[in-house]
Amino acid sequence: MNIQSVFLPNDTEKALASAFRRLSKTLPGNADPLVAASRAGAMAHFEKTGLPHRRLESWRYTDLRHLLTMPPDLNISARHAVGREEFENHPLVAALKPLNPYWMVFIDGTYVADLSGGPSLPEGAEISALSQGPLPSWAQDNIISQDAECIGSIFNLNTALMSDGALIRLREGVNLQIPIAIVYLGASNSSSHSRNIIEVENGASISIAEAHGSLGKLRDVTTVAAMWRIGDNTRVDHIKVQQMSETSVHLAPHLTQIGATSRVSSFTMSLGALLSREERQVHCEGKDTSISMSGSYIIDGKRHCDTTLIVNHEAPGCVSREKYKGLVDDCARGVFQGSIIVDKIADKTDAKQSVDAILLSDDASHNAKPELEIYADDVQCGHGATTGELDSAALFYLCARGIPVAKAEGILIAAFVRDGLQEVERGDLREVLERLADEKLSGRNAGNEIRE
Amino acid sequence: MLRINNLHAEIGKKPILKGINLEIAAGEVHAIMGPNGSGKSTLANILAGHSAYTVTNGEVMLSEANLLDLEPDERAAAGMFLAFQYPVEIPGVATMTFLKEALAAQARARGEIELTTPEFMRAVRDKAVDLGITDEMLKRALNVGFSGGEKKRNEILQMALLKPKMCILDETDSGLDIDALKVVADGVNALRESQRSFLVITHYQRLLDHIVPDVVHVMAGGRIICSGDKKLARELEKNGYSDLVTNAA
Repeated sequence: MNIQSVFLPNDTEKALASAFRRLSKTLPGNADPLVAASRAGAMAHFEKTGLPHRRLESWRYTDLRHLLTMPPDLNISARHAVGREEFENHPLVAALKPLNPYWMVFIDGTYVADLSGGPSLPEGAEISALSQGPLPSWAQDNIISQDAECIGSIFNLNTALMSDGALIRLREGVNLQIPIAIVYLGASNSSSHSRNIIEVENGASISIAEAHGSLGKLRDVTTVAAMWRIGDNTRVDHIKVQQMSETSVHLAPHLTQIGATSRVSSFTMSLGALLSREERQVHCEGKDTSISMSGSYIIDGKRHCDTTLIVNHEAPGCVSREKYKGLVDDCARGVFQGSIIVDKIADKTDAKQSVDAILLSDDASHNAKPELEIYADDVQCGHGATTGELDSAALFYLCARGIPVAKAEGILIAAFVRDGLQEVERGDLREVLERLADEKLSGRNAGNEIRE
Repeated sequence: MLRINNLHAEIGKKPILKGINLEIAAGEVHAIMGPNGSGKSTLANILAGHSAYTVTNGEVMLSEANLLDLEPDERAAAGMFLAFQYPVEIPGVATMTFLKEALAAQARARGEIELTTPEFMRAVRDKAVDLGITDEMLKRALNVGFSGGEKKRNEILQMALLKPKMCILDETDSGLDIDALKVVADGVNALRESQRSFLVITHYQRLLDHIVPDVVHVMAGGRIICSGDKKLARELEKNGYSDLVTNAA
């Protein structure tokens, strides 16, 4: 007997669908019938599948359908005005400031021109926000070329509802010296859906620092999807730090396509949010490209932090490195799923992936699922996953030299995190992350002292 | 300086130490020899405060301090120092940072004034030169990529900087060639003084040719079965442990 399962949307899914019907006419880009059709198609697909749940292998450890219970009241304009002083005093903004970047600032998912801008950009660097007037044709192409069937339901939800985001295009050969800082700050209990579209044409180079935070304790839901198209002979340095409030939800699917002989380095540091998922699909489409997709998560309280990574080697001779470090305290849960897929034609692939997690409490947990799918013959691929406590031998060694145990733990934890940050090649970007990691860890130490 | 009375200890219900009695006066060097599995390294680890072992009976006094009541860091501040048989590699922690942290922590615990950074740097460089430790080694992560000899020299450097009262050397000669052994022994000898005592744990007479002990003890089956002067070590080298162990049993 066949049992036909009937999909019945839950309250969150119904609210999302009704928000789409209510807002679809006003969403940016919908003047173009192709974009409107893409949005409608994406929503139709979302309504068919609903939110992802644990019966889907890639969502096995993050049962979003069950976990996402907040009413996603869609935000379309910043309700809470944020002044320059409040903005500049935010720890994430303060950490990015030494980069002297070109700012793109979004409050509650809406672009704020007054807080954005910076040094003048060279010719060939095109930067705008999704909500600013008609979509440029390259961004339109990017949106309408998506295939709703295979892109994933959060991406579809984001396509349907995206209301703003950063559009960045570097024309051929442009070497942009000024870093771009993309800052998303939540200021109200709301839900926002943002899309960053980044195109780096052949021979261009760029560095981008992305930060996602909250102004106060918020119950907000954000989806921030990113599409990266990176050409041949490029250099891309990207960091992202997510430090949202302890009751926030942050879902971030990324799709990255990279051409030949490029060098791409991306590092994500997750420090906040109640529930977060960094989902990265990377396609190495041109030969002899070198990528580093790494990250760390330092999570405590009841946080749930999921990193899901699929690196596709679709051309010969590419090198990929993924090194993740997780530090999990209290009753937090870390999830790492990493796949490396090597196509038949991708000989001479050199791919390595590792995830190391340290559990700092008995109630902390970590799930790691590394996978390799190799169809080519001549490759070097490896992966490793470890989960454990702080090294007791190292701890005893430090204590035996007179260092009190809490301090010794702090030293080992800081060393573990700093070791992960070595993957960030650009020194100025690494310093931003080191500063934020140190601040997070010093907060942890302060907490210990109070507990003692 | 160190007084051990009737010390019993076990690991996971398995008794290892079965009544150790040992007294080391200020300025003395004692050696403990004995076959594998006799409990020598266990004794060293217990004195330093390793949590894997449970002390079931006995008392250990370091000067006036009841050592078994103290945490490992408090024991260090009270003057206890264990030179590890296998110094631990700690990636991400620079040797210099570690040394500064250890010195500062002990100074704080004892209510002393911490060294300023220039004073600290000078102290490290002075001692490091004698032990053949280069600036480049000091910049590296603690013990990471150090050779066996470098690790042991680094232990002696720490001993020289921390100025402990009671130094335990747990098989410091293992993994050292003859030249490295001499450098390490010279480093230890330079630290010998009237208010500092040593307990040297070793399998071989060779180390004791360089660090000449006042008293030699033989340990077997978790007890000290005989003690003597430095000649005892030579006899052991010639005849082995088996006669002694059989007689004791």
